[in-house]
Amino acid sequence: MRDAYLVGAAQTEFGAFPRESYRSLFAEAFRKSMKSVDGELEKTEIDEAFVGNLGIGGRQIGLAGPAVTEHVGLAGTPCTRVENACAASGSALRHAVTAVRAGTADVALAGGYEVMTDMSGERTRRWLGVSGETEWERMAGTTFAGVYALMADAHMAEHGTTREQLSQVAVKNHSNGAKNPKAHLGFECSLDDAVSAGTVADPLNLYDCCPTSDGASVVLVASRDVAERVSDTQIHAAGTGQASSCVGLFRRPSIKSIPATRDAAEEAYDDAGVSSDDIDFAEVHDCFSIAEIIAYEDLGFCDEGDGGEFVESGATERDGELPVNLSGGLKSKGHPIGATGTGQVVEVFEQIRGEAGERQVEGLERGLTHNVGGSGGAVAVHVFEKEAW
Amino acid sequence: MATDVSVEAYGAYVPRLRVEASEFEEAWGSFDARGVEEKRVPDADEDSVTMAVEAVEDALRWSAYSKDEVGTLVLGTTTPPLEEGEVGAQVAEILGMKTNTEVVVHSGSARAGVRSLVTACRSVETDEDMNASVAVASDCPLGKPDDSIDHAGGAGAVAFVVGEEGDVNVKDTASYTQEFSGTRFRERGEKAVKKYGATAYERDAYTTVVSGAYEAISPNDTQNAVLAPTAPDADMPYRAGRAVGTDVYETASSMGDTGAASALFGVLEGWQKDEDNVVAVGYGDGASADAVRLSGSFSGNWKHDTGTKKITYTEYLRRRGHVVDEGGDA
Amino acid sequence: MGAYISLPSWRRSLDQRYRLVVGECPDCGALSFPPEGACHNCGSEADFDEFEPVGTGEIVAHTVVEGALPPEFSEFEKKVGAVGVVLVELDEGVRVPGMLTDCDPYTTERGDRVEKVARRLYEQEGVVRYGYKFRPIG
Repeated sequence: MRDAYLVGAAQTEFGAFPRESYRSLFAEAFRKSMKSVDGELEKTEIDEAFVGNLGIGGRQIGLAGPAVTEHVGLAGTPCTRVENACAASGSALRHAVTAVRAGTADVALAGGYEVMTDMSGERTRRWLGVSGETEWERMAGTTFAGVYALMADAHMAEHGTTREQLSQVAVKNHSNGAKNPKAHLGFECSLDDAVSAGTVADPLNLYDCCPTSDGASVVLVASRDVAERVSDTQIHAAGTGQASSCVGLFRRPSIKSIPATRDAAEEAYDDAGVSSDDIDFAEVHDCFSIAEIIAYEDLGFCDEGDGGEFVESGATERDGELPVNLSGGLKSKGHPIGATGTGQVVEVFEQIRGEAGERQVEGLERGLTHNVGGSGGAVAVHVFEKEAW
Repeated sequence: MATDVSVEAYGAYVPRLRVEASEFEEAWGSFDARGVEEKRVPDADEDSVTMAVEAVEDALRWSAYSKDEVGTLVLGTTTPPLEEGEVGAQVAEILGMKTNTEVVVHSGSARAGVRSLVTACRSVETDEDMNASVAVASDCPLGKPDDSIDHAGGAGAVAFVVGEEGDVNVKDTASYTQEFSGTRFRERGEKAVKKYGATAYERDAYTTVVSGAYEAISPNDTQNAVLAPTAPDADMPYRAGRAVGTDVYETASSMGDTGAASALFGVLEGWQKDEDNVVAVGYGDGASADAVRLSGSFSGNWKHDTGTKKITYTEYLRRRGHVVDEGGDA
Repeated sequence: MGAYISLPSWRRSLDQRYRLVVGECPDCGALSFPPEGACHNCGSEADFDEFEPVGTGEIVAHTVVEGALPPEFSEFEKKVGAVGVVLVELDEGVRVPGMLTDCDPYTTERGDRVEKVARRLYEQEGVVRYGYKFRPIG
């Protein structure tokens, strides 16, 4: 088994772009990703592409992968569309990493895209329900906000997590996102704003929920030989982990954590030969504020039940011991479902290379990305570390 | 009856939401349902099917018969969810009835409630296996928001378990039919019931046909049976009562117009007041009526007065679907 | 039309919609709702032993949804406003998700006991789909 390296990564702005198409968004991310490579890399060197997408805003178009790779001049390159709800491009990344490691590709593209803002709210809600457990949870009246609200209710009851702690996640991520020119909601918010926002699904309010966004992201994964040739900074894809869990919350033994995160993280840490203590920074899947709090616990950043206290302590702030969501997270940066997973990798790439602009934190060498599908039916965790050779 | 037929148990369901006449007065300047002081409102997830299920389950809880011993299920309603389509099948399925249960639906008229009781009685008369029959009347009539029919419109369901033995004996049934077109009707594709609006004509129709049915039950045996007729409001029933010279029982004053279920609610009201000789008359505009004489009574509080919730006129409009909101997209 | 449940699919689930019929794994005894697929506990693919639970249980997680219901409930939402959604652990030991009805969703809480009741869920293509909801006992 060979090693795999990140040689390029980029994303479009995340937001609402009625003038862009899913193809044009992907093309922009692709172009920028190719440009982010230090040296010369021809697109003809891309051996295979894995593209994450949920449904292109409900269009449910077939061949959603080839449709965009063709658009950037890669017609002929093997391409597969990966669907794992919001963990789509994180899963695509795993395919790219394992393809390079296995030797079936010297350069593999992993990316994702989504257009979510060009249909009416009602139509958007209708197709978004596909990634939840439809027959029983959805027909009990829950969209994702409702499902995560049930998790928050249980977490708060069992562990004493507070309203303020939930909001602190939003405040932190907005503070980071305000420094990110690519962010959909790149503005700061006060704790007061976050705590007193209107209820969406009690206890979750508007500031506990990420937006729906348009956007695309692309990362380029390559073998050591190629990385040696084209990269000045070596970023090793040290660990990959993926797991699944029951799609419906009601079938899981516990609703206060996401078992697939624990399993995927264990695999990724094992693969990378590290533990949670060795992670310098992370991009985690904060589709809802409670999701980030639960992620701290499931990823081993703190003990079970202490997630609320962990964010309250400031440990995950920019200047904390383990900055989380320096990009602004899903909450502030945005969440175009197919693009989120590889979008998280873009932040890791830029931080390690010292190219994160206003968001830069010095000395970060080992980053983790955590990408969740739905309420945890699928989770992909990756560990990247800077290598010097 | 040809053989012994009795009501062996009863059940009832009344929605917990209620709205007062004063709310309507405030909204419209007047409240046009005579004698109605307050009425029950089905919640947005209730309808004739769900109320019928609750009433039958209630009745079976009190009955010695299990649901597998019910050979016939008869549903009477003016508000089935579909104009055509076996609504009885959904009620039977939700209740968990056997597939070879005889399921009958009477609809298209407020007479359907008492008619369902007649059908249930006939089934028991002819059933060789001594199965019970269940008759359930379940209704939630609607009018246009600014007219008296809607002002009166209420909701509820009553179920009777009918078998060979029981505390209330079914003594006799009779029918009366005479054309009085247009007094009250609902056109195809419409949700709201309309009426002709000539009060004297409507009263003539109602009193003629209701008293005709009452008196068709062998007059010698009637022995001043009290009258529990279909009650579109709390005024009309008393006119029929005066015409035949007997007391009247109705629940329109506290529940509004419960359509096909109203006559049976009147029976329950009579039993609450210890009446043991009651003639229920189901009246359907057009007009036809069935009369059933019941001898004996049950006790028990069926009004479900605890846990009710008072709502405002606006909440009433929203729940009953009168208000179409075209804005507010997420 | 995303997340659409066809009528034949709906019909196959009526035992669950109307009576909450649950399955017990013949190998390990774990309960499954609905009783289909492999046992979540032991992976056995043997047929479940089905039974109808009493229909009562306790709320183990609770939320009130305001303005974020799935579109099947758009009209319902316009009529009633806030809607309670709960995860109920039935007395027999299996969990089912459901909507609250016949109560104030804010004052019915985690820990309260509830019972099933058949209500209108939604209407699609002219057909009304009925199913269980939960209301507080007593």
